[in-house]
Amino acid sequence: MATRPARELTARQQSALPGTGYHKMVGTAKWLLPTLAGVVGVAMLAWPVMGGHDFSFVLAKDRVAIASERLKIAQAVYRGEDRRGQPFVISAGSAVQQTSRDPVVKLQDMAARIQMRDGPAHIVAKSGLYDMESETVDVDGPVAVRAAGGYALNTRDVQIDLASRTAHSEGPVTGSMPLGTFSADRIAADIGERTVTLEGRARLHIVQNKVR
Amino acid sequence: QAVSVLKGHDSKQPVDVDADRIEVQDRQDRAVFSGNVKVRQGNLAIDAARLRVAYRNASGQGLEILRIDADGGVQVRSPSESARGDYGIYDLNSRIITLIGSVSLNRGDTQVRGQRLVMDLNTGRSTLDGGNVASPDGGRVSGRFVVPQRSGD
Repeated sequence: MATRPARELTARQQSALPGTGYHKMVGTAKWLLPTLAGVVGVAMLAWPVMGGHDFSFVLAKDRVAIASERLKIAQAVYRGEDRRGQPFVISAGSAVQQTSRDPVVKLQDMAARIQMRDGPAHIVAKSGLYDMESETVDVDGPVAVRAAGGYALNTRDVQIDLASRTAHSEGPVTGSMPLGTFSADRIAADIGERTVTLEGRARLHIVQNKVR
Repeated sequence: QAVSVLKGHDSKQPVDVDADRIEVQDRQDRAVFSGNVKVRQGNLAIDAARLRVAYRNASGQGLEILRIDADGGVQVRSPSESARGDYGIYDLNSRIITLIGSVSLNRGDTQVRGQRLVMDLNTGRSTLDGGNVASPDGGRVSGRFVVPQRSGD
């Protein structure tokens, strides 16, 4: 198309002629805007990396911290029932179960409470192994037992069968019960039936008419 | 001196019992002792192979032993005499000890034998009888008495 002579340009076209302000503005914009875009792009990419501390982390299976036990509970409480449906509660300062296959939980600062017809029986020990399947507690070390009806005894190394509410000790026992104060090499007790069997140099001191 | 030191013995004193095995059945208010059982109450001592103690634990009055049954070579000893029998029953309420079965009573140098001995702790007197005719040696009592020497020993 032939170029039109300058005189026939409209006012708008004349304002866009080379050398006019508009022309210069468009000229500079032509290189300024892409550069600005570039700078913003780079800034956006570089921003997280430049940001001083490093937010990102790498989760590597072999470097992550692995807990040695399967289950660790602080202030653990286990509730259960014995064969006659009477409840028992075992609480512990801490309870650790090594693996899920092994139903034994190692208890620290253990306290067991067994409900009986005429009141609760409390068994306290420093540490114990509670087998959740057989519902037995193995304690090595000192054990204190207090039961309603005036039973109080201290012994050591006890195995408690919570389902049948019986317990027997390997270690010596001293204590008191309604009949009197006693000591022996070993003790076996059926808390439900309220029978206590003392074996090995058993001694019983019976005081009569002492009004309790 | 036919009166025992145990005269007026207080059966309410504390009782100490040693044994190889003690089984206390609190529900039946009973305790069973087995294996060289030794009972001590004041200056009364009872030894036996097996022993049962029946007690009452009425709340409020405290504990009271009602009766002690012993068997298996029962020996009853006090500072003034010792007696032996197959079975022994110590009734703490009436304060009477009864020994049954080939009984022998030794007091000083005197020894008497029979089938049944009743020691009354209230009076301190003991009576020994031979049981009935069917019992060994025909219900008779035998004894060996030592007469103190005339010459003022």
